[in-house]
Amino acid sequence: MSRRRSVFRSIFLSALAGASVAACFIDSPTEDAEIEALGPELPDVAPSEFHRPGQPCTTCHDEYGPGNPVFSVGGTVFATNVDKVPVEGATVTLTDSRGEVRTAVTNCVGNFFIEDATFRPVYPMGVTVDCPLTGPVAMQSLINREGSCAFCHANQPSPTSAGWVYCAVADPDAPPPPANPNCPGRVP
Amino acid sequence: MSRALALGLFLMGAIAAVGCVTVEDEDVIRPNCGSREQFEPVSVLLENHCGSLDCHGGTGRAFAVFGRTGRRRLGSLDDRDPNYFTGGLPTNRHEIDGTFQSACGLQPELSDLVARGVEPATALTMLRKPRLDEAHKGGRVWLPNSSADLCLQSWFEGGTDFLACERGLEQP
Repeated sequence: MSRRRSVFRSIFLSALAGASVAACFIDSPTEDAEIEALGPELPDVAPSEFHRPGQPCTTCHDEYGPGNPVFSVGGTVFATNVDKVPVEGATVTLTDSRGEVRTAVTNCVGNFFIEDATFRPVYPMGVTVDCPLTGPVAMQSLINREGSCAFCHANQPSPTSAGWVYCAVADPDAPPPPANPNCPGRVP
Repeated sequence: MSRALALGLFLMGAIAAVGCVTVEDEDVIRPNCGSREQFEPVSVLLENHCGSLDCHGGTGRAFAVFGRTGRRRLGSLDDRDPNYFTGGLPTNRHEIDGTFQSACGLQPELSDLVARGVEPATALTMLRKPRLDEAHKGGRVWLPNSSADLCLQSWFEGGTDFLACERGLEQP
């Protein structure tokens, strides 16, 4: 009797372990489609902190996606609302609901990110971008759950997008600011 | 041949006649919830607390909030204006209508019971989620009986507390 019980227990535990392992490999067609929609890498830019400026970082850099490391927050800062010229050295300050403050500085392709392992914000969260030439800009609304800037700030303004994150409204008479020619990444 | 033609014409006529049947106004079910006339401050509150693009201002949510800080309403009054984007033109009447319809249509039967005083407004998912009395991906948005909570309750119960709605906007 006790042997039969032990066999049942083994079967049950094996099934439980199998289900747990299977759960780790469950496909998410929606997320797969979102990743696919981002398209391939640029041929001259290796996957690194300089790739894919302006794309929603956490589509790949989350617990499901292929990106490593996992980000809690990530995005790209551009110079103006007209020119997608990346801004290097912009300080992004995030303040979550607990009052935890984190800063990140954009690299030469305008990208910044904060790893999930170092900061897991409690939403809603406020954000300010301090641009090197034009000064600080505070986001008009709070971030409520989404770690990728580009989730809401995709490309041009539209009825479902606030437009990309930029430092200043473009002066129509001024030439676009120059991008760093030595940057390993570039805006497509 | 002429018989087939006559039959064809008859069928076409019959289909056209059926196609012209209209839905009478009294046949349309109108959920009984708070009034549209008193909804505007509630809409502002919902837009402010719930309507960003990454929450109920995004697509694919059962409860949809339209307005300046989130999703704009396609086919709206300002649809052709180049500034009709998130963060652009102020929220318009058509968008407030959309949020109103969404709020009323979320739990129509229960909303009706609340409006008739049979159930308390706090039984509604729309009240329970922001309080975190019910699972909510956006977490706790406000506390029970806070100004924002009272604003929403009062509208569902038939008499919007305008002061509570105003104070609710000041809550972070």
